[in-house]
Parts: sequence; C-alpha cells; structure tokens
Amino acid sequence: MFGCNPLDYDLKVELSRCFNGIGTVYLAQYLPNGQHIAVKKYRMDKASKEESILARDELLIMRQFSHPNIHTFHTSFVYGNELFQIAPLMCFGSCKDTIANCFRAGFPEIFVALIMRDVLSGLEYLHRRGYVHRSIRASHILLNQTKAVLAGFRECTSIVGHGERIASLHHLAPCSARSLNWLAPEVLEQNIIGYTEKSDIYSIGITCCELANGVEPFADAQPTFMFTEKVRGNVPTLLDRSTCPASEEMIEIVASTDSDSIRQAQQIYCQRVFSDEFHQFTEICMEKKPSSRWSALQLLSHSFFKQCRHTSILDQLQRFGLETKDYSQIRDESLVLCSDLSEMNVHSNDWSWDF
Amino acid sequence: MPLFGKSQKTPAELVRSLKEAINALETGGDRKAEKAQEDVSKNLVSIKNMLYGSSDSEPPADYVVAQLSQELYNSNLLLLLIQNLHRIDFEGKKHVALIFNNVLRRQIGTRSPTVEYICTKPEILFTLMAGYEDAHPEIALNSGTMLRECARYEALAKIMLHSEEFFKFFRYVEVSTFDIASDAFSTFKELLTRHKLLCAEFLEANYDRFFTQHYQRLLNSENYVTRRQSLKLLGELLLDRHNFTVMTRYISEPENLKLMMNMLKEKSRNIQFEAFHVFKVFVANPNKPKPILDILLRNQSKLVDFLTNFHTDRSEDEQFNDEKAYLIKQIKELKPLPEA
Repeated sequence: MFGCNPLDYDLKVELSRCFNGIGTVYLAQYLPNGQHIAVKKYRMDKASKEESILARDELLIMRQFSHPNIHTFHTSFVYGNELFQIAPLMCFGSCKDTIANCFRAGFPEIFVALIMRDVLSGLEYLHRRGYVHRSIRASHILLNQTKAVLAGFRECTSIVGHGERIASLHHLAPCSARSLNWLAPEVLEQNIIGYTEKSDIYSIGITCCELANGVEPFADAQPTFMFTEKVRGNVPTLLDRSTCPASEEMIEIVASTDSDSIRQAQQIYCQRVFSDEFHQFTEICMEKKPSSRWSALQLLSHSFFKQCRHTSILDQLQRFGLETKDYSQIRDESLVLCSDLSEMNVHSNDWSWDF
Repeated sequence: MPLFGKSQKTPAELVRSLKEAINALETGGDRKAEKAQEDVSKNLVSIKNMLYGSSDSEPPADYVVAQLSQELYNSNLLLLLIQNLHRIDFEGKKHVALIFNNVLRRQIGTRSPTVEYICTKPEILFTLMAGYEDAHPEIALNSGTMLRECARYEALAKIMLHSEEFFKFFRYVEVSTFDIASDAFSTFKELLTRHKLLCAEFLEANYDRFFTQHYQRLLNSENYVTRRQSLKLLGELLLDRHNFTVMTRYISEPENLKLMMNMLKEKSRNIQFEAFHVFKVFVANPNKPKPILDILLRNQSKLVDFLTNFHTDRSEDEQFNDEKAYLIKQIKELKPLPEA
C-alpha cells in the first residue's frame, strides 16, 4: 500500500529527534492516497556500525509482531544516505512528550489505567511469544486519539534462540545505559540466575510511577543509590497525599529549588489521591522477587482496570481538551529550505586520482 | 487419556491432521480455506508446544520429539509447510519457523538426522531461498530465519553455496524494501563466512563470477546501506587468512584498486574508513604486480598528502594510526620496477 519512492512522501513538520540524533520523525502525507503518516528518517552515514545494526534489528524484530498495541511500520527503504521508515502516525508522540506538553505533574490516574491496559495487552502478546522488551518506559509508549502502543524495540530480544528455549537471559541490552532507572533489580545485578520476561513487569511498575508522577523515580539520584534501593527491595511510590508528605526528601528537594514547576508539581502531589488499587498495582509490579510479580495476563485482570470500563482514551482526551489539529493546515516552511540546503552540499571532492 | 482438558493427540495424529489441513488450504474454496486455516494454526501450535514445551509445562520427552521428527520426515511435511508458507496466517508462519529450527538442531550422538534428511531433499533449501522473491514479501523474513539456521550446518551451507540459486542473493540484497534486503544480506553473509574452508573453496572456484560479475555491482550500488555493508564484508573476506588465494588475486587487479581509491574519497566517512581497510592490503602486498605499482606511483604524492590528512580525528584508534603511518611510509618509498 505504501511505496518506496521518497518523492511520494510530503514531509510537513519535524516532530522529534531520536536514536542519538541519527533519527528524525516527521509528520508527512503520502501523496498517492492523501493519508497522514509518520516518516522516521535515519541518517545512516552518521550511524556507527553498531548503530546501523541496531536500527536494522529493530525493524526486523518489529516485523515479528502483529498486535493493535504494538507499534508497527508500513514499509522501509533506503534513499541516498537515509533510511526511511514509514509508520502509522501516533499524533501525541510518546507519553513522555505528552507529559512535557500537557501533564507536568503526571497523567491523571484514569489515563494511566487506560494506557497501561493497552501496554499490557501488547506486552502479553510479546511475552506469550517468548520476547522480552527490556526497555519499557514512558518514552517508548506512543499515543494517538484512540490507543497507546508499545514501541522502542531496539533492546527487545527473544528467549528462543537457534530453535531452543533459553531458561533465562544474562546480558544487559546493548544500549541499556539510558534505561537503568527502569530496569529490574535482577537485571542490574547481572548475577548467574539471570532474568526473564518478569523484568519487564518491574519496568511496568516504574513506568506507572513515571506516568503518574510526571518524572521517573530516581531521576535525580546517583545510579549506585538507585541500584542499592532496588536490591534492598525499596520500591518507588506514586506521589499523592498518602505518600508525598511523608517523604522528607521531597520536602528538602522542594525547599532547595527555585523552580516554580517543581513547587507546583509538589502542590499537586500533596492534594491528589490515587486509588488503593493503583498503589497496590504498582507494588505488585515491583515485587523484588520476580516470581512474586504477576504476569502481564494476570495484571490485566487487576481491579485497577475496573475504572476503564465505561470510558476510553478518546473520551479522556476530550475531557482534558486535547484535540488533534487538522494536519492539512500544518506546514513548516523552513523544512523545505533545510532540505534544499543539505542538497547543496559543498563539493570538496572535485579532484581525482590519476589512473 | 486425561480426565480433564483436551486429549493429547499423538505426534502421528498431529502430523496427519496438519498435512490434511495444509492440503485443504491449498485446494479449498473460501469457506473451506477458512476452516483449514484454523486447523493449520491449531496443529502448528500443538506441534510447537510439543517441541518447546509450553512455558508452564515440563520440557518435552525425548521419545516424543523423536517420534514427531520421524513423522515429519516420512510425511514430507517440512517441504509442504515451506511451499505453502504464504498461505499460512501471520502467527502460523512464525510457528513453522520455530518448529523447523527446533527439529533441525536435533541430534543423536554426533549425527544430525534432520540435516541428513534435508540433504536428501535439497528442494527444501531452494524453496526457502526463493522465499526472498518478490512474489510473497510476507514470507521473506520467516524464510530468512530458517535459512540462517540451515547455514550453520556445513553440509546444508554447501548445497546452498554451490547452487545456482545462490547467485540470486545478489538481487535479493538489493530489493527496495529495506527490511527484506537487509535480512537477505544477513543470510548471504552467513553463507559466505560461517564455514571458512568451504567458503574459501567456493570463492576460489567462482572468483570471476562472484567478484567481477556480481560483487562489483554491490560496491557500486546507488543504495548507501548496500554499498557500506558490501564494502565491509569485502574487507572481512579479504582479510580472512583462509581466503589468502582469493585475496592475492583481488589485490593484483588494477580495477579493484581504482575502485577502492575512489571509495577512499567518497563523501561518507564510514565508507572512506571501510575502503581504507581494503586499500591497505594493496599497498602492503610485497609482490605488487606492475599495473598496481604503476597506479600507486602515478598517485604517489597525492596519496601521501591524502593519507596524511585522512581521519586525523581518530587519534585514540592506535591500530588505525599505526596502519596509516605504515602505508604512508610504504608509499613514500615506492620505486618503479627496474626495466627488464
């Protein structure tokens, strides 16, 4: 349905950068059918060997999945030095973007429940097929008007290798340095027991905190502190009236800061109340012992999701006044200029060898 | 028979009913095909679980696996599954690959019965290789995972390398869809690098066809990724000591030197860097043929200047800097051959 001719894709505006600055995501229109889609361009000439392999493997692994809550792509092709990935448009970007744009102190509980229900059904699909995602976090959950999808498969791996099921994994994912705060204690410990798909469930717990608090736990902490806390089994909490005043650290941090936004967030934390189900849900996800954590399938039946019954992401977006724009009106004129300029590359190679 | 839950089919029953379902899928009309699709999926899942053990059950007993494999060989079902891969639904295709890869690794002592079986039925391999054809892009990646598992076994790699189908990879690695092209390239690379002696033998015997007729085209591809990958693989092939004969021949041909020198000054720094690793072999060769020496001599001062300013920011890469210094020294000291 989507072809491999780059001229058929009309890039309208840059949405975000990703993958160490190699990738850029654009809002674009596919001219042959007028459909709006996302075009992700990778500058392959700027990618190291390892990065090109990661980019390739992410696309190949995504081809193994077909589930409404797992991000997919229509096609991919190379033009010039760039790799194009044509994907469905997730108009609100990642949940991290949405937090930054609309919910500085975190999503309302009902939103977290709706998002997590989608993410968990995607995750259940992955786990049932023997895949471990290994980097679940708000920036890897994408959102549009109707659903949330799980993305970010650069670190995803299979527990079936060479026709055999592997009991547990031991190696850290290739670029997990950025994701340490979300990783489960058994992943960080790197011991002989290794880890399984249950490590993803721990990351779900951390991501719940990130979605609800607007910032991930341990965001300002030293990695060693984060590590010892997790290994001791101390779990991060959702910040609301029941947990926030008790935390002296928070008060200290707030007192020492001049930033209005942190003070505002602190006020919101002290006033709001999350349900007991929500608190309990995140605690189950972050059980120290992997076998005590519920599976994705079990979590889907947790009473936390009862509140999703008579509502949907679309309802909630409307309630909070988050409407989408008319894409046909959007166009960043400087984009054309930029691409023209890059075409005009100075030719320093105008000499030749004597053969 | 268990009191509760479904009764377990025996391996023979599973294989028989899967075979029937596949045949129905092949021939049936719309309504029939739908039912057949369901049966195929169900049986594939049962066989897969029998081989891998479902996550909550015990690992499978050896005799079940043995029985199942035997049934698969006798019924010719592996070939039938692969031939009909495009008719099987999305999840089913992946189950076929899982089943295939598991049965493939089966061992009895030092023997690999499935590998032996496939040796007698090479059309299994050729059908898998044809999975990269444009006709059914949806089976390309599934075929790829099975092919790469096959390529791990020397006997199977040999059949593939020495087949006419192998040369079709030069087309597959350049198809416009990136994910399929790069999967094909992984398989191509696996076949050319996994079994060193086999590969060396193949490259020597097919030097002209492989390098001059086909590989040259990949190196000149419009597609940046193809160019970069094939240049990198070329470097790996030439620098592998098993391929000494091939390397000696490659670095005695002036056209190859010209190509590398042009790639040295390409716009992309990654290409330049990979080209450097092939170029260095031409210079380091102690017995340069006259045409090679002539080209280097004609460009002596240009090369020295060029290399002196080449990737000067890689100061932390000691090996690279040593090699670069060595090349500059070698080129500076080049002298024409004494007239005969």
